[in-house]
Amino acid sequence: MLLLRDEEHVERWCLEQGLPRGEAVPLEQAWRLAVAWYSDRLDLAWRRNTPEETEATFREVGLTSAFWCPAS
Amino acid sequence: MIGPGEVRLGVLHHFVERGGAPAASELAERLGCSAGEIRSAFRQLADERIFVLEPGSGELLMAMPFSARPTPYEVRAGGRTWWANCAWDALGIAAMLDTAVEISTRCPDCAEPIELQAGATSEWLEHAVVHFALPPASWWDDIAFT
Repeated sequence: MLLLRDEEHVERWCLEQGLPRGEAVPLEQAWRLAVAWYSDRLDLAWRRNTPEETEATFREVGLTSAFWCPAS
Repeated sequence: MIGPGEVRLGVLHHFVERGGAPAASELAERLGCSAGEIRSAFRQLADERIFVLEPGSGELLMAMPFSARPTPYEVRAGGRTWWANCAWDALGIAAMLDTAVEISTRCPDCAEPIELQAGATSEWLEHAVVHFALPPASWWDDIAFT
């Protein structure tokens, strides 16, 4: 997951790398995803999310396209 | 017998405190167990896709959100510096530590520096984006690329 200056840089980078365009997430939304994903990582009881929990986490921060479906 | 959860947490605490990955022998001393137990826990955590190990040595390569090796994502807070595996993990360090951090990287397209702060008082760069090249279902096909 790379940080790029803006959408135009994403388009150009994908073209130059020969990669399909993925999803470009604005920083504020990526931050909310990071908080949901990592804020409890220092708890001894932490465990990996189930696919359902993962999908719920994505949905909670507004990542709802088919790209984010764990089964996709 | 030490459990993988305690080893996982010991690794993260070591990264937080020292800025880098513990060797298995080093973590064994810290946690009061054998290096063999640590290596066994490392393998279990890697099998569960929680850590990534160096091929061959079995030492830590990735303990998300931290990288054991330098990456394009340098994260700084409280006089300490870490390497994050990716942009999302750089934000993840701030989230995990619940503290403001400074992140330094370069746009992979234009190579211009990108500096930002992340944490409770973040003011986000207006147009910058985190690009997820692969959907979540494919992240572990090649975690180094992801």
